[in-house]
Amino acid sequence: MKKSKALSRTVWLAIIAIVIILVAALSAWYLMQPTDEETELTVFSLWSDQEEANFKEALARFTENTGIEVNHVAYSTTELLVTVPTQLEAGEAIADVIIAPWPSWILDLAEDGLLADVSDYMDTTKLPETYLDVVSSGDAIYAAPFKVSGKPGFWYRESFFADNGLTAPTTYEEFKTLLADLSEIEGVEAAIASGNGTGWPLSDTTEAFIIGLGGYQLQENLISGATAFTSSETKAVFEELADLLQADYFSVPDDWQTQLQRLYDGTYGIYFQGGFVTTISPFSENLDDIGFFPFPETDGATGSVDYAVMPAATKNMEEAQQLIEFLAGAEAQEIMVQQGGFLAANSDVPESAYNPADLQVVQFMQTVTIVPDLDDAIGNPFQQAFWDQLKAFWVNPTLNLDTMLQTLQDEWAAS
Amino acid sequence: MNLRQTKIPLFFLAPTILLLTLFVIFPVVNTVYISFLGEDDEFVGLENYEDVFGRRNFWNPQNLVEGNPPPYGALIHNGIWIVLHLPLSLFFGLLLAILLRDVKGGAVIKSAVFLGMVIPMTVGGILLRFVYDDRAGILNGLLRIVGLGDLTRTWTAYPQTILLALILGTVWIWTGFSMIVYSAGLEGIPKELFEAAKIDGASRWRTFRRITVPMLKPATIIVVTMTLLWELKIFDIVWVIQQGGPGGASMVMALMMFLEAFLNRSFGTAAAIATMLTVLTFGFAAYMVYRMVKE
Repeated sequence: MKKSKALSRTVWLAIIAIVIILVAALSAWYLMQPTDEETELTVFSLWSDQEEANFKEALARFTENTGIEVNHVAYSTTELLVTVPTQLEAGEAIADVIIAPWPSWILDLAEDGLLADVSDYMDTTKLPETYLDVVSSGDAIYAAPFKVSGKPGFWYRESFFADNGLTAPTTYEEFKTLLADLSEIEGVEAAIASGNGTGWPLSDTTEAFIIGLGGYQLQENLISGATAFTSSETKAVFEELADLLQADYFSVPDDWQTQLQRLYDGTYGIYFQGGFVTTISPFSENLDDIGFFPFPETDGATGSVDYAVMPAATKNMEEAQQLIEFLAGAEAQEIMVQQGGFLAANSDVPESAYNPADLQVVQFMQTVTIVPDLDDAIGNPFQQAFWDQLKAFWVNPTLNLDTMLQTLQDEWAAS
Repeated sequence: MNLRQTKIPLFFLAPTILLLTLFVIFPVVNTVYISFLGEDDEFVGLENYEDVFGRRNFWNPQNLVEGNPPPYGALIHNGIWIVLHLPLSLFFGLLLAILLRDVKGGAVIKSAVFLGMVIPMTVGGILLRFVYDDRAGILNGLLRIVGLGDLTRTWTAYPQTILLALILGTVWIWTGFSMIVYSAGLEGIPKELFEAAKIDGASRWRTFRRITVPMLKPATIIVVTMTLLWELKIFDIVWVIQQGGPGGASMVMALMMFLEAFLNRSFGTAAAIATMLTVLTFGFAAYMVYRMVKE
C-alpha cells in the first residue's frame, strides 16, 4: 500500500512539472508575437564601429521620413555567408534587408528563389548598368547598389614621404625603386603592409597586381573564365608578385586595422587598401596627411559594391521595399558619402558631397575602367580557396605556383 | 517482473528515447542518406565519397611522402593530431598527477592547469594566436631571452609550423583533463599495494611500472577514448586561428565538413565527410568501450 502511495505521488509530481513547462513555453511564445504597432525592420551588414555608426545615420533618416524603426545587426563575413543562406533555405527571413558585397552569392540565392526582385524599387537610370548586370537574371534585378568602395591604390602618409624625399611613382620601374628605397629607411620593417583577416586584404592587393600588370581585361577574363588561372599571362603576374615577396617588400600578414596604425607610425611605407580606410583611425583624424597613388600605369581599378537585398520570405514586405527604395536613392547615399570613405552608386549624388580625400578617389576612378572584385564576383568555393592560397603564398612565395594556380582554376570551375 | 514493473521504467525512459531518436539517431541516419545524393537530390552512390578523396584538401599523402610541409589533407592532419597530441597529453597529465599528489599547494596548481579545460575552445584559440604572435607572443619572447631571436615568427602564419603549433598548444589545453582523471585514478589505488611493494624492496620505478600503471588502466582507457574523440572532432580552435589555412595546412575534417555544408552549400559532400567522421569516432569509441567493459 505504501509503495503505491509513493508511486502515485511521483506520477502527480511529474504531471505538475510537465504542466508548468507547457504553460511557461506557451507564455513565452505568446509574448514573442509582434503586435501590429511594433513593426521594426532588421538589417544585416558587415559593418561595425565607425562604418556602422555612419550607416545608422542613414537609417535614422529613413525612420524620420517613414516612421519605420530599423534595427541594424553587424555580422562578420563568415557569419553572413553561413547564417543567411541556411536560414533562408529553412524558410526563415531573419532579416528584412541584407547588405552584402558579393554579387555571385546574391545571384546564387536569387536562383534558389530566396530573394525578391527589387527592380521596381529603384530608378535604374541613375545606377550604373555594370553594377546592375551582375545581380540580374532575366528581367529581374535582385539587389540595389547602395555604396561603392573604390580600391584606388597604395595609401601612404604624405609627411613620411616628404621627410624621406620620396615621391609617388608613375611607372612600374619607379614603383620598384620606391619599394627598395622604403626598405632602406631606418625603422621601416617592410615597404608594403599586408593585412590579414579572412583573406580579403591580400586578395585586394593581388587583384591590384593582376589589373596593373595584366590589364583590367585580364581580371574580367579570369572572372568569366575566358582566361584560365593557369595561363602564362596570369602566371607572369604571380611570378612578379613572388619576386617582390621574396625580396621582403611585403610584411607578414597581420590584422588589417592594426596595419593602418603601423603604416601611420612609419613601420611600413605604403598599404594597398580601399577608400573606406579614410573613415578609420588614424586616417580619419589625419586626412590632410594621407594620400594614395594608383598602381602605376594601371588601366583599371576594382570597385566593390555593397548591395541591399530583400529575402523573399520577409514578413515586412512593404516596409522592406520602402527601405530598399531609400537605400538605392540619392538621399541615403549622400548621407553615406558625406561621412566619408565611400562613393555613391546613384549618379544624382553631387561631387560637392565628397570630402577632398574621397573626391580624389572619385576622380581617379573616373579615369580608369572599373572592374568587379575577383573573388566576390566568382564566389565560393573559389573565394575561400583564393584567400587561403594567398595566405600561404604570402609567407611562402617559393611554393609551387603551378600547383597553386591549378587549385584556383579547379575552384573556379567548381564555383 | 510483472507488467506494471516493466511499463513504469519504459514510461520514464520514453522522453529520453524520444529525444535521442529526434536529435541523434534521425540526424545520423539522414546524414548518411544525404551522403548518397547529388546536387539535385538524385542518388549518386559513392560519388560524393570519391569526390572527397579526390580533393587535395582532404587527402594529399604525396606531400607527406615527399617530406614537404603541409598541407597533407584533413584526414592526415587529424591523424597527425592523434599521433602527437594523444601521447603528449597522456604523458603530461600522468606526470602532473603524480608530481602534484600529496604536495602542499597541489590543488591550486591543479586548478591552474585545469583552467585550459574550463575556457571555451574559441577563447583558447584566440589565446594561442597571441601566444604565437611575432610581436606580442610569449613564445617568441622566451626565444629572444634565450638568444634564439632568429627563430621568432608568427608561428600560425606559416604552413610549415601552424599544424604543430596548434597541436602543441592544445596539449596545454587538454592536459588538465588527463591530469584530473589520473589524479582520481591514483586516489583509487589501494595504499596497501604500495606498502607491500616497499616492504618487498621494490624500487620506485618498479613500483610505478608494476603497480601504478596497471592499476591506472581504466583511467587510461577513459583518457584515450575522450582524447581521441576530441581530436577527431576538433574544429573551433582551428577555425579561430586560420580557418584551416594557410593553404589548407591546418584543415581538419570537421572544419572541411562545415565549409562544404554552409559556405559551399554542397550538402552531399559535407554529409560524406560527416559520415566518415561518424564511422571513425564510433569505431574508436565502440572499441574503447569494449575494452572498458572487458576490464
